[in-house]
Amino acid sequence: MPYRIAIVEDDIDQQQNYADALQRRGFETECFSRVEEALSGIINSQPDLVLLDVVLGDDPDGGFTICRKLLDRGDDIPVIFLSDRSDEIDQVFGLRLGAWDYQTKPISLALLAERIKSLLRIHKARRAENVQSTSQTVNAGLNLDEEKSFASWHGNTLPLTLTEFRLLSAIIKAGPEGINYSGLCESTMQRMVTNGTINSHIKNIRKKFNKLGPDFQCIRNKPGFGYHWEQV
Amino acid sequence: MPRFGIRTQITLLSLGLLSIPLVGLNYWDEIRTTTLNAQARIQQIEAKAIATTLLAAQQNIRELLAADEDSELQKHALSAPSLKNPIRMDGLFGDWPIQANPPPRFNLDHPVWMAVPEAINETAFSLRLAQTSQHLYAAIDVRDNKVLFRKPSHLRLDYNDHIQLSYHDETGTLRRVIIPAERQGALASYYSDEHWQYGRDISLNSSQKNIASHKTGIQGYWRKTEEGYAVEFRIPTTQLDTLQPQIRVAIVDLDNKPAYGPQAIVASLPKSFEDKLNPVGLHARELQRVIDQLKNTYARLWIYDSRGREWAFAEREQKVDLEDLGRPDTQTELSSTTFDSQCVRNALQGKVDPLHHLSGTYAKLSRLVVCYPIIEQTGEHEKMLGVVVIDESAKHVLAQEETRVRLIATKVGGTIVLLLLILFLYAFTLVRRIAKLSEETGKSIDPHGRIEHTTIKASQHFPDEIGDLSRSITTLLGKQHSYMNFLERIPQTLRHEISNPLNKLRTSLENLLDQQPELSNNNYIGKIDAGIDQISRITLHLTEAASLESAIQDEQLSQLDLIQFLDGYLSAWEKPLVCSAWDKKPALIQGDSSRLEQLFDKLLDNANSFCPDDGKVQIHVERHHEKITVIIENDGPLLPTENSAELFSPMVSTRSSGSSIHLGLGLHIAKLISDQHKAKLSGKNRQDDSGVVFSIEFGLV
Repeated sequence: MPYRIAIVEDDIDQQQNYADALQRRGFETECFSRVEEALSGIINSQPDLVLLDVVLGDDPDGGFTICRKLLDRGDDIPVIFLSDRSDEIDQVFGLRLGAWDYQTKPISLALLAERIKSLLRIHKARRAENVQSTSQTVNAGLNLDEEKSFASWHGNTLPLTLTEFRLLSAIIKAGPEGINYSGLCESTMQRMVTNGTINSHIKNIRKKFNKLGPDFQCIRNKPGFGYHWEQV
Repeated sequence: MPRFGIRTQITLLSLGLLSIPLVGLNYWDEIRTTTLNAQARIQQIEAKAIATTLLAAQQNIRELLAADEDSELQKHALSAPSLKNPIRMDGLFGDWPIQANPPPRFNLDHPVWMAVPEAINETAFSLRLAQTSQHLYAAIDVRDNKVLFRKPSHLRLDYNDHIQLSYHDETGTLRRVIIPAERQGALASYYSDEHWQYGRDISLNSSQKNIASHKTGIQGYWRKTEEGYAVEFRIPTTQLDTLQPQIRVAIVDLDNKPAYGPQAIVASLPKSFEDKLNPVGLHARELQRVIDQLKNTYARLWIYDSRGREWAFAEREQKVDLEDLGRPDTQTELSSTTFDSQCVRNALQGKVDPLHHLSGTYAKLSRLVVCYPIIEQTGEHEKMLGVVVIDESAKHVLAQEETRVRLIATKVGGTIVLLLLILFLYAFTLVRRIAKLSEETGKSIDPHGRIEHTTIKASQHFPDEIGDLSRSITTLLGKQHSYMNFLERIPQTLRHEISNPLNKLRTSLENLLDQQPELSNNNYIGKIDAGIDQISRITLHLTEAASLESAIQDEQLSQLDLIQFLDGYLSAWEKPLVCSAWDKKPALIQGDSSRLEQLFDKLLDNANSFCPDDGKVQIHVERHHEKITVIIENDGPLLPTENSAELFSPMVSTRSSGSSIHLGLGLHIAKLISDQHKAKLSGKNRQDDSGVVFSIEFGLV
């Protein structure tokens, strides 16, 4: 049974493009362009994943409103924001609402489809609590569950976003030699990523580690190259 | 233009206030002149009034003043000026007032009698008279080479040197008094008979009372001198005829044998007036009463007759005038009020310009003297009877005005000083406020022209022009800040606006290629794809700077080795770069490696993009004390010299690099990061104009 994706986008052309691309890749889609319409539609149809634009018509925070109301209901639906608003504060706000990912336009449809697939797989894995994870990477206190995109540090959950998990996973997999910026960019599964964007993500990852324990210095920068994990 | 501050301006303007005292001084001079002129006119009117009153009210004035006017005897009139201070009766004349003219001296030029006419005899005497309201004073200095004293056994008074004194008493009776040379000390005097031989009691006609011969009422002193002897005495004016006062003095010189008679007799009148007496200018009581009423009004008043006799004198009781005048020349002062003064002479000649000013020290007017003639009109004839003199000190006249003016001057001076202080305080407050406003305004904009705060607190609540200026600047800064915000948000706004159509293009293109895979090799589709990528990159860069600015605010720097960082960073650098060898000693700085990476990315990318293919990019490090400087040079186009301040401003591209797109954000981002690291980023052209040099100077920990 194909996955159903709800697309909430007030620009009909973009909405149609998303739908066409996803349908071609075997997904079912249902499209909405207004807040109330989208909310009732999603609640009724209970899709497997929701793609949300933030600005909907005259409502600059329409996407955030939908996300909050859905998650307040307890609906366990992965949400991906697709927005032209690229400010960090918007991204942080969206992720704190409970969204799984926040992508800024322009996006790559192929990568979006890959991302959706990945998210659905992770979502499925997380739902099946009794299923033992088959692929784990353990690195002295760090536990990475690739299936669930779940990370923990000395037994404590690291609340990483999907992109952050992918970056951390790529660094760990690269070993002591480290991974360069282009490798890190690829791992984000986004089209337009700069070194600055990578650095910004790494800073956020470090902050989350530091919240669990101070003086975290395992993710080391190799100037001009990229990052590597150095066990202290 | 040399600086001319408000402090200096107000100081100079305030100096103008000092002209007020000068104007005040001129005003005082005017007041002084006006007051003195008014006083002079009053004196003149008063003198005229006195003269008129005397003529109208005093029945005997004519008789008084014109007595013996045609007589030859008047030529021998004796003057008796008024005494201001009492005289001690001691036969010494030092306490007599100085007179302009020497006292009259009588000698053998007109002897009354000579025993041996052809013999040489130097007998002579000088006679000086003065008067108060009570007494007539006389000082007789006799030259006598041999003084013959009276023997106690002698009854006769003329067997020795003696003085014969004649006068008319209050009843007009002729009295003869002999003052014999008896001894040094209180003199003896005796009424004498008509032969000047013996003392003789007299009887008063009025009371039929006899008076002993030695009770003449004359008090005095007889003193032997080197040249002869001196006699000083006084007669009560009550014993004198004040209507026509007359007195005669004769010196009788005896040498060896009294019985033979005197050697010489010298008198105050020549022999032709043997039976006459010298007229004396004794104050007339009637006239004195008139001017006594005015004695406290003026410093001094006189009435002279046309012969120069002083008939009345009055003086203010407070003795302040002459002493307070600061006079340099007492003689000149005195001469002005004596009969011989020019003022009196002019009046007696009928000149109608009797006002006479006397000048004291530094030609300053010190006294006002008015001499007004007493003229009797008889038909068409005018008869000069005398002169009224009123003397007043300018200081006395001005004293009251001076006190007032001094009080006003003190108040004005105090006010000016207070005003100056207030002005200076005000000026300094103003300048301080302006300086504070200027300082705060300067600080509201950082060296790169970015507005740091929009509210100016200095003078904000003052309801004046500086307050208006402060509020205007606040408004201006607010507007400018809004405008700057708008400009700064342009990249983000632009990105937001571009993102949706760009996403539409991107997704449409992807869908097209999905539907028609054969188009993926299409040249135009490839160009469209590249174009969309290029626009996407531009929008990404546009937001990078804006995001960076807010991101670095909360970032914490940590200690890192810049040398180690550079070694690592440059080893991963893939573009052409010439690295000089530098000291590998650790250089610890406070920094963030990812931001430094971003900084050097921008600078090296910038250098590479402007470097021609045959040129080179170089990097080297220099250390100076507590500083370390990384220098990046590249061949290629030069930086403009005229707008170097805008080199690091956002959206400013000062050089052309051909086909490469430059949004002018690279150097701006580099500048933001260097500021975050408290490093000094600068750019300049090489000295030989072959390229440009950027340097970042870090402070070592």
